[in-house]
Amino acid sequence: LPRARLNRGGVFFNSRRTTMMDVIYIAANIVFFGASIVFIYALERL
Amino acid sequence: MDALGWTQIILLMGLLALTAKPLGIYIARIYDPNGKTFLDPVFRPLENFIYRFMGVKRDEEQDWKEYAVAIMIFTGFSSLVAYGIFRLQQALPLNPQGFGGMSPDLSFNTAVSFATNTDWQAYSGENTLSNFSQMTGIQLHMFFSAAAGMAVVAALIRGLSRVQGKTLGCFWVDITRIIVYLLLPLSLVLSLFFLQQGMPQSLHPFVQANLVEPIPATTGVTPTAAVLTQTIPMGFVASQSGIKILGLNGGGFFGANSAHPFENPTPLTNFVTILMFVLIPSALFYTFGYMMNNRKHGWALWIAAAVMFVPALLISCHYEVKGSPHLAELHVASAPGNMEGKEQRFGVLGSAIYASAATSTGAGTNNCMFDSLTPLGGLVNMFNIQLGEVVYGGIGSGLYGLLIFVIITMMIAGLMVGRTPEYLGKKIEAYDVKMVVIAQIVFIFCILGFSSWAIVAPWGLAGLGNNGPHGWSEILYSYTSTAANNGTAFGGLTVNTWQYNVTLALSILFGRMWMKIPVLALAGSMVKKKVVAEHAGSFPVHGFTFIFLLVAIVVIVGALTFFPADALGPIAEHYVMAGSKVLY
Repeated sequence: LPRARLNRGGVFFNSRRTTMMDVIYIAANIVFFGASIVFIYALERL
Repeated sequence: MDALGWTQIILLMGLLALTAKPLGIYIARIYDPNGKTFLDPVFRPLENFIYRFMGVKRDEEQDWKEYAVAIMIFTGFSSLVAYGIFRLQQALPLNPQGFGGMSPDLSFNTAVSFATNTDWQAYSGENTLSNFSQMTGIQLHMFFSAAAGMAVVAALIRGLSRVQGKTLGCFWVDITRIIVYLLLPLSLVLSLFFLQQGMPQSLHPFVQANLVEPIPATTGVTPTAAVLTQTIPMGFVASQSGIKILGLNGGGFFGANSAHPFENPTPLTNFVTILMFVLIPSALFYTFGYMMNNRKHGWALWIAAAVMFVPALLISCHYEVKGSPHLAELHVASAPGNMEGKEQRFGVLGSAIYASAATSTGAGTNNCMFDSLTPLGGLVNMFNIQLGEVVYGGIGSGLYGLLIFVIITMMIAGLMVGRTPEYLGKKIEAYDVKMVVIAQIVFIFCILGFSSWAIVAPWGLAGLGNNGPHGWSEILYSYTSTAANNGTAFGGLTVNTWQYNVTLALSILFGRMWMKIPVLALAGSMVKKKVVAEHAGSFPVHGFTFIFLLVAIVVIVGALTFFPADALGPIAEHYVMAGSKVLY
């Protein structure tokens, strides 16, 4: 998707701050579900 | 309460009792990967195509860890996809209003909320989401998340019913069959009914209508311009409302949810909605008894839920009909009770019954303003959720939540008579009790931990719409609703800030996912066990004693855990209202 279209009326990729926030929230999601898989194997050993 | 109120409650319970058996047996057939249903000629080709597309074999099964990992991957992936849709909606199709992307924190909150069946909303759909986002980011996840909840309970039933096994079924098969044979056809029928009742179903842009009676301009301290037109939002409301209600998702196409005339057009849709909230959770109790080959036990669980459900309805109706005592003192309107924040079309009872049913089950949708309920009317709704949503409860989560309490009940009953506790012939051991306790602690921590943080943090206090006990109720309700994956909002609290969006999302994630994991671990432990034949010392899992003990355990655990917090909120507010000269 062209960068101009992504910016139309929105905030995605239009500043370093929002890009950083996107990275943080996507990473938070992955970390939570990754931690959940660790939790599954931790419970098995309990 | 008037005759109409009694009629609604009696009709509701009668229809639930009548439908529990046929629908329960149908769901049991869906839970059997090779089960036959009358919809096979229509949906079997679709089911087979999905398996081929996903590379899934119908008879391949997973142990509890594989099953749980599959759920985590599925939910994690679907919340990431939803996040991308909400952030990029300005560049995606079907956006006639030209809405921009959601902010990152609101996208995170909304994606997590809908991927987990919570459907908490910190936004208004009609001024935030494009049609594409409503279809793919919201509605699709309503199917996925509801089916994931029902899949967990299928795994738990297999864990309890199988003897010395290892596997609990296949998550991918379960979720496919639940969507294809249950949620899709039932939501289609329900959506067509809603369409007939007057809900819109359109992809057209919003309509600008000229007012028949324009509102003239005003002058004075705050002059206002004349209002000549009104924007009427459009959308495919009927098709979304079917799965919204059936899957106990909640949320709503519009910010006002089911108080909006396009989303709940008639008193009939209001009653059918209430019935549909409880339809599948009620039938799942029978499914459990049927699959365990112990139907009396299934009915005992159904009755235990009814014993908690009906009084909650009645108490809620009583306080809303009673309204504020100060109105009577002022000789104002003896009639309908507490009508503040309620729709004229549904009245006090149509709203109070709806609210109690929505909070007993996992339906995160309102048809009135909870912030305007009487303190004790609001308390009933909050306490319904604090019980762990087991009073029929969420779709799947209601039954597995109640089975956690059943394990506690059997453990206490076993301790009373000095025997190793058993449940359905399987011994309850230390590991099983640990899993039950972890599931409970995660839930309690999410509510009390996050609420306590918010009430002392500047960001938490900044969002309050009211001070005093009512303000605490607003915060406590928000974390209660999210941790239990209910999704209804109390209102009054400004939650669309990054701090609230993030902490409420974490409450949703831990409350939903970290409760499912110990439940599946419990299923994995149970499936390996031998079954001991019933003997003289076995505690019967049906009859008055079992139902009484189970209800007592559910209510006492809920009361002991949350009473101090509730006492500072709605209970204190009730006494302030009673003793105050201020008109509440």
